[in-house]
Amino acid sequence: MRGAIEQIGSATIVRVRKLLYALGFMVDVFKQTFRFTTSRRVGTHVLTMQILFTGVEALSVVATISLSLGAVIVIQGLSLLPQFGQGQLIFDILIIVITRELGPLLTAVIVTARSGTAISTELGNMVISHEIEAYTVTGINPIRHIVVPRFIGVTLSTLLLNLYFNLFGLLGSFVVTQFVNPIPLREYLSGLLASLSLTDVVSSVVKSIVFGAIIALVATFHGLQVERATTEIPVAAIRSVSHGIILLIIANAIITLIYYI
Amino acid sequence: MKLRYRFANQVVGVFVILAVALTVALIVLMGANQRWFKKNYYYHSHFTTASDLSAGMPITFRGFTIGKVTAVTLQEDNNVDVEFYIQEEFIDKANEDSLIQLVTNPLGGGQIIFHQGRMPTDPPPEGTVIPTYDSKQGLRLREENRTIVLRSSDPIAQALGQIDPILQNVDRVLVNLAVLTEDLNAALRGEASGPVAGMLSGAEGAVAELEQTVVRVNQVIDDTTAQINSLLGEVTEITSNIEETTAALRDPTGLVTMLLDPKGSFATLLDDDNVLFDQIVGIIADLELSIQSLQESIADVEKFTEYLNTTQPQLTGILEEGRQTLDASQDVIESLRNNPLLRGGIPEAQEQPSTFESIRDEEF
Repeated sequence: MRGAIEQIGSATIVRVRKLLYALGFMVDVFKQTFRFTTSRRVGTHVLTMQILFTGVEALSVVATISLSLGAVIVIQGLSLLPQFGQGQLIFDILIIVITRELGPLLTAVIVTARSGTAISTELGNMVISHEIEAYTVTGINPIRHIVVPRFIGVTLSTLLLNLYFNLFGLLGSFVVTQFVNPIPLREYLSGLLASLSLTDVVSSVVKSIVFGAIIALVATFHGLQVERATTEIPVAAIRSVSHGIILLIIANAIITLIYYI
Repeated sequence: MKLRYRFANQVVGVFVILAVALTVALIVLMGANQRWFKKNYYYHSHFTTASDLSAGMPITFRGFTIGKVTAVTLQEDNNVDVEFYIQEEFIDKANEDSLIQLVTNPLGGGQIIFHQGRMPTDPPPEGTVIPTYDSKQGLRLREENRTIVLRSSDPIAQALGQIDPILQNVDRVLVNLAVLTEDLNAALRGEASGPVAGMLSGAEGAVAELEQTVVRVNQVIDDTTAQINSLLGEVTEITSNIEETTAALRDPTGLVTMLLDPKGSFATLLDDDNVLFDQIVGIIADLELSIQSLQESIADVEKFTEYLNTTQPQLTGILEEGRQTLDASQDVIESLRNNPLLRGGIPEAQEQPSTFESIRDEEF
């Protein structure tokens, strides 16, 4: 009995220490991010390359998913809603699904799957190859030079991908509409823009920024958790994805709750 | 080295700028579509209830949305204040005799219809109150025909609009009935002192007296009924007698009809100087004699019958003995006839078989 209590106590202490460590890591990243913006000499190339890898290269995937999702919503909506005389609700459904909910979340999941694992693997390899130690030895802050550009790059990429997701989803559904129920572009845009509110846009932007930050923080944190063995790298990548997705869903629920409150 | 890596900065720049530009364009279009940069003219109206009213509700004029409700608040005087705006491009439709009407539809929600004043005037000053359709001022404007009232395009709303006044009247009647019922209940409990209570107390005394009168009348009715029943019994007997007489009269072969017939027996009997009567008397006398002789014969027969009855066992024995004697003498005569000495003896008696044979006697 006493041993069990000791085990629970020690496990709790370990968890709290890890959590505090993660929080300290997050605070340090934020702090270094502010410094990064003031001194642009450092890591701009890394930032550019991160946006290229995370944003530009993921655009095709995001566009495909977005177009498909928009098409499905339009086809399902137009086959059902006009039966109740509520065909106009298709725009509200498009905005709720694409702009407010699934757009940011799906974009974040894509980024997690592509870039989160890549960042974790890359940082894990850097730890194993003692590059991080080299940075430290030479007096360069590894957080500022390695983590912050990736943090900013992933966050910006997620935001931009989310914008593209919305554009492709909302405008791409117009193309599909022409096959199902042709309506003029002006009428389509009018209905869409009448249903779209600034709150929806702000909510979507806030979500994508928060999701990007979560992905970057989780990926860099687990990448730097690798200590010495190469076998730790895939474990870190898996943890990066699983923890990232869990945190994304929790954050999505919280932001949606705040939005409706 | 791949092209995009070589021109990474440019690619990323285009990627960012394009996204930002498209987003800005979308927001600008959204603003233009939602009239972010146009002026709205705000007004107020007072309703009695906030039911079916909500912020964001469209205000329509001839089917066009010309404004929206921005706020619905309860005031200190319990009136419901509705703040709404009319869009800049439609403000010339508003004038001083304008009205707004809440039209509800249980299937499709509600809407506020804007009714334009008949006389063209400048728009009312911003912030003033535009009367509602059902308010006193609205009613006066409609009675004076100072407002162009358009029907709602929604058929359900139209039907409800027509039913609504009827329902209001029914509601008033029900309220009056409820008040009257309460007064009556109070009067019945004796808690009221008005004319209705006086009438009810007078009615109560009258009802008590009426009950006594009814009891007395019931007694009289019972006595009268018993007398009538006895009379009815007698009448029934008389009626049965009359029915029997009537039936006899209806029968053409009946005794009464024959007797009463002017050519019948009575008339003949009365008109032949007692000839027939004398004959009848003679016949009756002969009949009496015949009957007397017949009675005597019957008495003799009875005596003979009694004698026979007393001698019947003896006669029966004599007859049986006689029969046996006859059988024996028949045999003697037959034996004599067949005596061999005289004629070849006595033949054997031939048994006469019964004509009746049962199934068991048949050979098989």
